[in-house]
Amino acid sequence: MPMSDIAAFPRSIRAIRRFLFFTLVLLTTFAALAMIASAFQQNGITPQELILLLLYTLLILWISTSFWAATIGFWLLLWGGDRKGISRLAPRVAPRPGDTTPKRTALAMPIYNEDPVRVFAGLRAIYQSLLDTGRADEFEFFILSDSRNPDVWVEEEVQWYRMCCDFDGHGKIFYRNREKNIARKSGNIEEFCHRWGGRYRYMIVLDADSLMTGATLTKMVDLMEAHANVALIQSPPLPVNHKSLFARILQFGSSLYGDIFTAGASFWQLADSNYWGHNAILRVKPFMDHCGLPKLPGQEPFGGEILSHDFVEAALLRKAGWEVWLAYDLKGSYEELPPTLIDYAKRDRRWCQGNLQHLRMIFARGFSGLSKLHFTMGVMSYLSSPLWFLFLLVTGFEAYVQSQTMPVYFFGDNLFPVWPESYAVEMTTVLLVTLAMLFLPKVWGLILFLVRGKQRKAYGGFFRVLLSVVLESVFSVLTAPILMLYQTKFVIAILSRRSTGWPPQQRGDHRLSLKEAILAHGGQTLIGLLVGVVSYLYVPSFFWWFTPVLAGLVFAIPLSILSSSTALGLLAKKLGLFLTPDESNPPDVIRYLRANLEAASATEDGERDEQQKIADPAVCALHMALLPDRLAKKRVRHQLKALVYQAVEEGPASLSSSDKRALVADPESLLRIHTLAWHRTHSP
Amino acid sequence: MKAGSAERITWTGHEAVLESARASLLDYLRDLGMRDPALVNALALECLNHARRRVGPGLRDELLRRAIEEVQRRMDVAVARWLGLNASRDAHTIAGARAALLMCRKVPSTDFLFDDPEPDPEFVSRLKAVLPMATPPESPRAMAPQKLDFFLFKSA
Repeated sequence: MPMSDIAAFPRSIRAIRRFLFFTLVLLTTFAALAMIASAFQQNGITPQELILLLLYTLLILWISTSFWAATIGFWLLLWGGDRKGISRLAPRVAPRPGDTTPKRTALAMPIYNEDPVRVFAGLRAIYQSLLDTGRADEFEFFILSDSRNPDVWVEEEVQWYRMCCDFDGHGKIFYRNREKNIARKSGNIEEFCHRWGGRYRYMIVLDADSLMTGATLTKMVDLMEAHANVALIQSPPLPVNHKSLFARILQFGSSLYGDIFTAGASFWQLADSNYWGHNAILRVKPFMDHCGLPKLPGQEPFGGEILSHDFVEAALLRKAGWEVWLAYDLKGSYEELPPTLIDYAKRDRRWCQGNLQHLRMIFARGFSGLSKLHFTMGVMSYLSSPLWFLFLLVTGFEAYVQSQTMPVYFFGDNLFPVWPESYAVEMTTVLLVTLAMLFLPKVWGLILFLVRGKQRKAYGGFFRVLLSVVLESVFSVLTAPILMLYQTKFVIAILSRRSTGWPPQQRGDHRLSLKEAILAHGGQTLIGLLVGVVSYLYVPSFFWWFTPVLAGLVFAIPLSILSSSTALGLLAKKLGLFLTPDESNPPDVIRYLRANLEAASATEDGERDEQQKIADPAVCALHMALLPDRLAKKRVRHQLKALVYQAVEEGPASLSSSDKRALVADPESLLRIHTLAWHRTHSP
Repeated sequence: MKAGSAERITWTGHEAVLESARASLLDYLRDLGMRDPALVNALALECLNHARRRVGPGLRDELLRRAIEEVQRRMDVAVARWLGLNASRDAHTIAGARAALLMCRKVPSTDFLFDDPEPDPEFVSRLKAVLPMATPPESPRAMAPQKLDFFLFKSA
């Protein structure tokens, strides 16, 4: 538990803000429901109308939560920000030292088969930015590798040692490759805490593509020092750096509208915010005391290892009485987005399984209502897609039923016809309200842009921003049904217990081939065409309403290929479209990253294959120096010898990746394959 | 001939095998940062002669492998002498020192390891400062898994 003699964040402020927020959300939901229900009640509610009402309730609740967060965030930012945000609260320092751990912060970066050149270019950039603050001595870097690929493993070591040498970072920059990657990322962090947790008061967790400025890192540490009750502060990472059209559109959207959502979320969540898994600072002691994750009994998707560990860790900290904050106004925190629509969907596939597991967490005892709400929101971020899909399906069916119903004008002995009542006004209002809630946040972002005069030039000027907002909106309308079908498929696959595995992400820009796009979107295109033809033939009035959804599906293949194009992304940049301040006037940390990547591409290191790397006596010596000092069992030694002979007789290509890893993990075998590789690479 | 397989050469070609292995070994020594031609030649010859005693005639790859291992052993002994370490007990530190010499300290050559009779204390301390230190001393703490109780689901 945090120290009781420190003032906790006032409950009254939490209560008032949450009351206001949830009242707005519920009132909006009820108003929308009332309108749609009045239309349905014309002749009594049919079963399909009842289903539609139920689905609409869930969806409008979800939309209005997001809408009101954005609206409140917009209002706060319009008036200079939230005075109750963590960055502006008066310090709440402990009167007596509670944590005697040295005031040292570990920058922990878990990695798994990522591109070592990119990873270390980013780490170097962060280190350089930290050096600029003059406070680098307060930090230590820890690269926590779970990489299995032996080639990647060796290259990581080389990059790590070069970084130590270039910055004289010996004893400040550390590297560890885990022998067994138990429990994936959360297990990686947990093992680090087990072994070195007592060394650090704070830990800033980074993702492989995270970038943070030195000023932001030091600010986060200062905030933790100033608020002894806080166990976690999450910074909102802004997506940057990619050049593909897809990524640039998303980067622009996040830059222009992102902070209104985070400011709004911070408004009602306050000290009960959430953890997003990276670009956050944690107080190590409470994290270790309360965040050891158990393996859940039962099978996947609800049992097994906890995949989206971040939400659960935040809930455990809150349960133990610690504060968890979202510092919405902390700038200088960055990440990278998947460069293509397909990569984005692949990332969703992994996240989806973790978030659906939270369905079980909702039933955990002892978590606060707010923690359960966080879990529900995590689930809804993926479950909303199949709900939308179902909603559209039932709407189509209902429209068909309505089109087949013949109106009856004369009842019983009535001499005058009874005209059927028209509810077009109500239904149009419902539609307009829903659309308004979806698109108004973009308008709020645009208004803020106008108010913040200083940023106009950095975004490319008013007209370019306006055009970018319109194009971004069209793009999001077109891609929404594609993602809806993807996520629906993922949810069904996960619920039917098809696991996702743990594939590494493809983070670099790359243009999709026609084959890739057809394989990924062919089914969606067919669905779009089929539904289009059927609705046009049988419910033509519905068809026209449905065209925005159908257009996205029918054009999924060209849309995916074109948006993956770096050339188009750069052309848009040249035209001043989708510009962001971090792109037009990048902060030092991004400049450093670019310079580091250029310097790395100038050397041929990244181009060397695994044979050439292991043949290099320096690389071999370094790898040998980092291997654990442990003798393999006799049986294992014989197996390794057999693998060496296989490499000699059939060539290294005949070995599997795990065989190669076993060989480079054993000092004796390493020397043998080093000699072999050196000979092979130096043979004429 | 299949790539990577050991070549078996007839007795008549043995001198050619030796010469080929020697040329490869010279390259390897240069990769280890050795520059003085006389030193490199002498060391290559010594290591090849040492390897020949254990390898049958004609097995070029095996001969080269043994010779390279002998080069590494001698290098390790030399590094151990400079750093005041035990070559067999401190194998990892010595490997680290070799990596430091080749990757970090950027010495013009590593000839001094065999040439200079006495280690230079200043150089040694600078070398020790850049030895690869992958992890700091451990400072372990317990992180017990939390108990999670569920409605409807089995508890963990």
